[in-house]
Amino acid sequence: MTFDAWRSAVGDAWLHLLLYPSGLALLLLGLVLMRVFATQAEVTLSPRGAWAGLVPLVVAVAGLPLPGTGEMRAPLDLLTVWLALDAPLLLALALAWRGALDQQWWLIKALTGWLVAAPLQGLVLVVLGWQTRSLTLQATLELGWPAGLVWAITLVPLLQLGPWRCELSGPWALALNMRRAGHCGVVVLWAVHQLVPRLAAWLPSRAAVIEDGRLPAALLLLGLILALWGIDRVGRSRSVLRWGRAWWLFGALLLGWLAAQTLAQFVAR
Amino acid sequence: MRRWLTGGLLLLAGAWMGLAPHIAWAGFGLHVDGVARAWLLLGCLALAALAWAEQLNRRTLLALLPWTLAVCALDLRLVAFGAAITSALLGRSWLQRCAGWLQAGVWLWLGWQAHAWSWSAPTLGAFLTSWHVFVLMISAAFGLGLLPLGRTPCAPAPLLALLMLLPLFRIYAVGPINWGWAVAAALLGAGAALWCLWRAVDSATAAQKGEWLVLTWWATALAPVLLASEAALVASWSLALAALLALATCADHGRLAVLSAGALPPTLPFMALWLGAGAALTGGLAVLLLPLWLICVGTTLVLLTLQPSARWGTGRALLALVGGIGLPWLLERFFSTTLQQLGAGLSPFGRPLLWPWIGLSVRDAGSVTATTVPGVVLGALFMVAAAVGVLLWRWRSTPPTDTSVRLRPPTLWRLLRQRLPLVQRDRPSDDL
Repeated sequence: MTFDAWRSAVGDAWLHLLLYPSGLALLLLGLVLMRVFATQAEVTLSPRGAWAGLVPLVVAVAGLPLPGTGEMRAPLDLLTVWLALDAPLLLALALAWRGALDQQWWLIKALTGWLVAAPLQGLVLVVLGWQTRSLTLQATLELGWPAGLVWAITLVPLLQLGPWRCELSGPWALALNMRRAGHCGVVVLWAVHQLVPRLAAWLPSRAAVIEDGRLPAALLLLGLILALWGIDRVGRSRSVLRWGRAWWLFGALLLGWLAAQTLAQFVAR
Repeated sequence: MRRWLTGGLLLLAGAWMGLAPHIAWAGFGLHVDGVARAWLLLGCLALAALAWAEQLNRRTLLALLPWTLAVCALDLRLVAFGAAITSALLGRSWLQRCAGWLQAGVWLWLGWQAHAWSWSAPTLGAFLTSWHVFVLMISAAFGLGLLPLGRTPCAPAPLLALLMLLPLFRIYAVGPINWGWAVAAALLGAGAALWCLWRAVDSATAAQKGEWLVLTWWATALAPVLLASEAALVASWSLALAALLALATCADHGRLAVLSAGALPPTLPFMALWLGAGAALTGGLAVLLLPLWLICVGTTLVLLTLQPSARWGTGRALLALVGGIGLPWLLERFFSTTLQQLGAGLSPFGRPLLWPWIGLSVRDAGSVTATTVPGVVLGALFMVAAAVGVLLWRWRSTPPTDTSVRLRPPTLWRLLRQRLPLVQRDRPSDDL
């Protein structure tokens, strides 16, 4: 590829970077989530490095092929997106490790949820790789809703909600809420891909609006945030251990089903 | 002094890289082919890393001659001699000293069976059996300090580590190997890497953590090497580069160490691991994704939790960024001849597609894109995002925090373990 390809790839992408889906849109969503999930007991972390963690996060969200963004000349894959989305959390964990007692308690809580979610997501990646032999975002969308569902249930521990809830204040709160929005974006991408063709067939009079994808994506994002808020409210006072066990069991069941489906397709071939 | 030396060696490596596509030198029983060129570049970088870490000693300089012989000689007897002497000089434990002798034994055994002592002899391939591959793999594990895995790290001298990885590349020029060995190498490499990573998390001192991290990178370089595809070889070579960078970084943990030895996109270590993931995916070994991802996150976390030294380590961080973004150029310029040379022994399951102005992607046999990182584009977008971030971020009200009271790491681990399902042993404490 030539220099022109580079110029058009960067030129196509930088508007996504500043406006929609990342940039200002992500910042606004982060501020909204900050209000939605706010708690009183919050820990303050030194604001050092908060913006540096945001850079990969914003670029990763800009690379998501959400409806209305236009095609990227150079697409990302799920592995890169996943790691870039978690950059603010990794930096916050590092600061908390070196910090005072209350910050270290925050670290333990944050790691507890993350360590419940990470193996489940890793296993989804393995099943995806096994079936589609590809981790590009376009290919992973083909796997259907069980994979999307496993990914969605991991959001509760991954985004520190329910019994795993722990909040920071100041710049880190905004950074981590923007991370929440980014992770929700991946699930919305999955759901839009599954639902749009079915909805368009079900409501032929509104097919044009639905196939455009922007309205379903916005509604799905709203629905997802509401669902997460509900789970968060219900689970706040629950035991971390019990919810952790339930989550792993639920995830294992769904994964087993997904693996069985994959195997059935493999045999049918 | 070390900066001058490092700079000089890097310059030499750079000049070599620039000239490389035009050099195919032969004489005095030596032959600088594609693989040898790739290894000579790694050798230059290993010396630079050693100079930076202030570990460049007379023994290493003395070993340079046999090392070069083992890398470039055309005659199997000379290769065996070079490998044996290098490992005897550079080994830090008796197993590491034995590793080169084992490798030498394999070459002599193969040559004796085939009655041919040249790499280019066509009869060599007919006599290559699983036993040869087994001994080469075990010698690599010994040489890299991965077997037996104990509680004290024994990081290999980088020149020795490179020499131990080399036969696993050369073997493709000799003949085809069983796919089972790909699984064995992946299990050995990934398992050892996870163990080293866990020891790095668990170690008390920064020096030990650094040594375990370097071992983690060497072990990861071993994992994809026998997958018999272009993507696997590219991944393994890039992971060796990442190990050398980690060696230079872990000598003094600069504040930016996470960029040069951790795995954040789009730095060189991340790109190398990502190439490994692509090779595993297209090679039909998707399970390898899980350990590779754990190594990605684990190395980053270990480095982030280290107490940073007064240094910044800007040069190495820049090198990691430029190396990661410029990896397509580096591979096209330097590794493509190696791939052409070994191409006959490789399968089509996993081919890297280099877009010098965009980034990298890995494709499988049906030209379906498996993984893709537009590293160059990401680099440009990172700069735009960072500039906007610096302009916007004016939230600097730092509250005073009392850092005098802290949990000790064992207490921290215990509290964490109590709260994890299937791991906890006692009731969680209520004070959280």
